[in-house]
Amino acid sequence: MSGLRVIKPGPFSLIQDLGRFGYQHYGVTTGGALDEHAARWANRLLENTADKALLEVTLGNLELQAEHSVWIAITGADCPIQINNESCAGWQTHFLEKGDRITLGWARNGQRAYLAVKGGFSLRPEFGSCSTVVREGLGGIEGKALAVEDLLPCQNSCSDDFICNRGVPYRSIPDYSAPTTLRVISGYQIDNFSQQSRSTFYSTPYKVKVESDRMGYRLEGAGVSAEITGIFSEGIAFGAIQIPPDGQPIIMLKDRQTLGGYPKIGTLLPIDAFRLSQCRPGTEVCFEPISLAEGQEIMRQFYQFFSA
Amino acid sequence: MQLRIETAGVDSLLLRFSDRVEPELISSIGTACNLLESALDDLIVDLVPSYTTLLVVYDLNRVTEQEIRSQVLSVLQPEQILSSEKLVVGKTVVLPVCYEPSLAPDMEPLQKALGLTREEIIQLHTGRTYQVYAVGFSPGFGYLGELDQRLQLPRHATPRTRVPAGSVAIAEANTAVYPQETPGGWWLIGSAPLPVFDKTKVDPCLFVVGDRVKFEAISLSEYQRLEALR
Repeated sequence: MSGLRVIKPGPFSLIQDLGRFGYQHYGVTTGGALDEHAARWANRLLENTADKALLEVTLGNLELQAEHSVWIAITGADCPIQINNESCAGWQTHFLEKGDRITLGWARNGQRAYLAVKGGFSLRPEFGSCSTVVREGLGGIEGKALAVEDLLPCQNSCSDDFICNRGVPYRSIPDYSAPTTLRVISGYQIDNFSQQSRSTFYSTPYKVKVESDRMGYRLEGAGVSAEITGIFSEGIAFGAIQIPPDGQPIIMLKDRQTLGGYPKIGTLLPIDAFRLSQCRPGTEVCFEPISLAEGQEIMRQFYQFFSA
Repeated sequence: MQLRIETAGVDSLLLRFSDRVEPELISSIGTACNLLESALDDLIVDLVPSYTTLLVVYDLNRVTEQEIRSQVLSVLQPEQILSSEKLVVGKTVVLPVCYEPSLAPDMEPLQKALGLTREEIIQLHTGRTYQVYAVGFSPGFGYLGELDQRLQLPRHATPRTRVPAGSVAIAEANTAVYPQETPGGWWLIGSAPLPVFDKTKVDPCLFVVGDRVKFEAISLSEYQRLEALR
């Protein structure tokens, strides 16, 4: 099968889907698109099911060449997009003819762009998923980030599959540089944090540190301390907020290790964890508590919207 | 056994079975894992057992937290777990290990640190059957315990950047086999010629939480013979 040929891979472009589920007891992490909001939009624009494999382009600087005609959609971080040197808009579909070259420049706002193709990339799943986890050597193309000359296989599509280009409604396109409040569901070792620590955590801003990656986002700000230092290692939910002895929160994301031994003050609402992954180092974020029932309702609506 | 259920996120519960680590407890957690998997398979996304807890990730599109809590409780009645004869949990895996110096870069410093001979260390390490308390850190990495008191010491202050796959190691109260080449701070005392994680298999892990592992010393030639079969 032919598809999209990689001319310039960018610093860290990865095949992702919704992740690898049911294998954490083997120590296999879930992986998956960090910003599911943007990733699900890309598949939705192409009328793909939500689980189709797409490309997560960290920071941009990508160039691909189409070996056959194909519909694509680009969402997420704002990268200058060009098809054959002509500028195009993000958050919408585009049609590539055989031989067309598409480039994504360096991201100007946000951290990760998503590029989906009609029908999804056709790669062999490992443990039920194509998500690349470089640390584990699983998924994608031989468990690695994209490299020059890689082929991203996909189906041929014809131009009249869609009557016209489709785009995401303007109001649904996030501004990744806008102030960000992250909603937190209390849980885990919350009872081991004093009233004062909790109030510090919820009332002062934190900055995203440079040492943030697909495993976890490290934040910097007023120290929060638990009354206990270590715990027996236990399972870590997506978005869990670990507080190590230095008091600086770490938000556990898609490539997190399955177990951890630091106390946790709660867990982010997943859509806010998706949003966090678009924040650049230095961005200020605040925390706000939310009830479990409210959080579940928001997530149900999110999943329902993207399954419709 | 006293089961506490904590909220661990919008779609996760943390089942806390005890505040203490015990060999019998980890088998019960393994049993609980199997019971939940067979009873609530369509509601459960992931189960992560470890030491004293079990993280249950569920599908919030199918069930509310209140509902999953009561379903978990009805599946995990203490009498059911403790007397669960229908679900015998845990196999015992005998794993051959070669302790030859060429495969055990920390054996010499370890002898000095512990004040034991090489033979004593091997004897103590192979002298017990270990429980698998957790699998994590990397795919297939099992935390096996508890190590004989005489073998316990802190991990290296500076971890190695590359520990070869198959390395058998000890640190604190645990012993482990490195499934892949990864960085690591444990003391390397030998090497196992069998893969403990094989992604091409339906059951990729040689052992999971609730299983037991016993090490058996083998010669270098036996090690090489088994390695060649891989």
